[in-house]
Amino acid sequence: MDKTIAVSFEESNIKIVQASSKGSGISVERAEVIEYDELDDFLKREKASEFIVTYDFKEAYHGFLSIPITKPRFQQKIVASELSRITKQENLSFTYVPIDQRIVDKKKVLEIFYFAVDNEVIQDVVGRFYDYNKVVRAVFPTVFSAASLIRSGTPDEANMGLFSTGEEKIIFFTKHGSVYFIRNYESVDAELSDFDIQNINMTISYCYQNIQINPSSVVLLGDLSESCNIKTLTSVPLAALYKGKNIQFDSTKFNEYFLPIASFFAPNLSNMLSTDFKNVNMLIKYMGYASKAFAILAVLCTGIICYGLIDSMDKRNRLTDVMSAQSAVLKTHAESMKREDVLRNITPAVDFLNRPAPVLRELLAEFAEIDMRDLKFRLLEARAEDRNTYSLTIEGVSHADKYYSLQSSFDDVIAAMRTIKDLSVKSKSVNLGDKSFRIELEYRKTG
Amino acid sequence: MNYFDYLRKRLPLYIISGIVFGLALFSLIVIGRYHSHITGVLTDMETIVLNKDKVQKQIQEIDDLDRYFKKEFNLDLTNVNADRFVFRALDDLRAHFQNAVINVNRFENSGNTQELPVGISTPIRNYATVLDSVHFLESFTLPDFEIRHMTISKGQAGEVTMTINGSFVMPSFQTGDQT
Repeated sequence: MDKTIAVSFEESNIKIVQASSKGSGISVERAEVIEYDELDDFLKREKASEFIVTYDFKEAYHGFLSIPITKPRFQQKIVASELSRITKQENLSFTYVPIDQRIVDKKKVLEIFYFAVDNEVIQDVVGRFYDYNKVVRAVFPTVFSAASLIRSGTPDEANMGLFSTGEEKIIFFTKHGSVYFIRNYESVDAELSDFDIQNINMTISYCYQNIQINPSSVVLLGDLSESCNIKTLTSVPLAALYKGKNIQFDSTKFNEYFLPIASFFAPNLSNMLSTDFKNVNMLIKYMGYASKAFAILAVLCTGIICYGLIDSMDKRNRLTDVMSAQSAVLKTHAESMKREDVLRNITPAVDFLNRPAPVLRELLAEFAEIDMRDLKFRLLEARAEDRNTYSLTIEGVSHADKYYSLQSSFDDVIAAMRTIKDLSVKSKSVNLGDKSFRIELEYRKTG
Repeated sequence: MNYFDYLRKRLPLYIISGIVFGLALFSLIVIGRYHSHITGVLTDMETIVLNKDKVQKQIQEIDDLDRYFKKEFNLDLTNVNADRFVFRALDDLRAHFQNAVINVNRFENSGNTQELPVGISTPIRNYATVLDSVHFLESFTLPDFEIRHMTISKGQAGEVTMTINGSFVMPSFQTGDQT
């Protein structure tokens, strides 16, 4: 409830209260009275966009109605159907409150109190606000606004309220914050008079007979709470409504503005605004939020665009600097292309030169160091397995006279061969018949 | 009742804010793409400029290697005639093995190398001659001489013969007219 304006259409003038929410109450910031013909000017100059309207619907339909007992979600449609039937009006905005279950013609029915207004009347009242680009959040009948203050004072008791709207006085019956009964009658005196006491007592009797509830008190609202001129008493205690602590406002002016102030506390259930206007409000709210969201996002996008542009310009300048070195790059590229043929042949040439070094000479040189004693080679064969591996076969004969010497020399030669690095003896054999020998070796250069 | 009349006054703000947001979003996408593009180009250009020094260093290394091959092997890498190198080595081989029987086959291409198979059969006087011959053959670098098979055997008459089968091997160079 931030900076909301409540407008109450009363008998001879319009009362306006601007208030802001303060905890569970309100703080009234401005209160004024304007004439009916000043409303357009007021709406034109007023900057606030959200309004709560209290209107004294003279052509309202209200009363008791019995409906079949159904689930609550079907009640709305049944009540609407019944109201169309009773009032012969199709386009009604209404509110209702269940009172009690009764048995009529051996059938259980639910008795309700309804309050209905023609939507065209609401359109006439509310449309003026929308013409000036304002939004009406809720429209409350004067009784429902007034009843909300009694509810806030004594929530669990049934009460009767009485207030004056100029030449007319309105009596209403309220319990649990809901209005159960309304009665208007022409007043003979602006103050509370014996005539009013008679009407109060009659209404109490009528209500007790019809809805079996007695009020605990009769609450006088507005100007009626200030003075009275009575000689008779009501059947229940009389009380006057004064400003509560949750309303921050000048106490002396409270009675004058009690209706617009009360509308701030009226329950949403009493809102008579038609579904069409509620939809319009929802769309306006959506468009407002969407416009704000679009604007915020547009600002964010603009910020990012600015950052992107600045950074892009910076990078473009850097690119210009870098491009200035382009001639040197192209020159280097041309130099590189000139060496394309060399580059193509360098890799195979370098790879070729990096191949393992030949190894056979090293092995043959190692053989030269071996003392062959009385063994003589007849054949030395080397076969390349790959670049650094050779399979070798050595065949020869011994000139030793004794087999012992033959074997000893052969063993010594084998032992000497085994000391040669990377050389391994694969097989060896000695033929004692012709004193020949054969050695098979493998030389695998590792380092 | 035309409730649209009540919305009409608020529509321009809604539509304008929507259009402004749409334009801002479109501009954001365009600028984002341009920014991304220019960042990519700048990064590429900076990399190219940085690589210029590396390329220059590589050009220097190529020139050094080119000079090395020219000086050490008389090899012009821009236009290599591998056959000429092999034949020159073959001449050296013939000069070294004067009493030998030398057989030469056709050039063979095997992948990255081209080879000229050579068979050498020469009498030897002693083991030092063997070492000297093998050392001579293994001292070839470009072309290289790969000894595939070698036998040293004593004949019936007591003469010792060394037979070496191997190949002169050269890398397969590409000449300028090849692709």
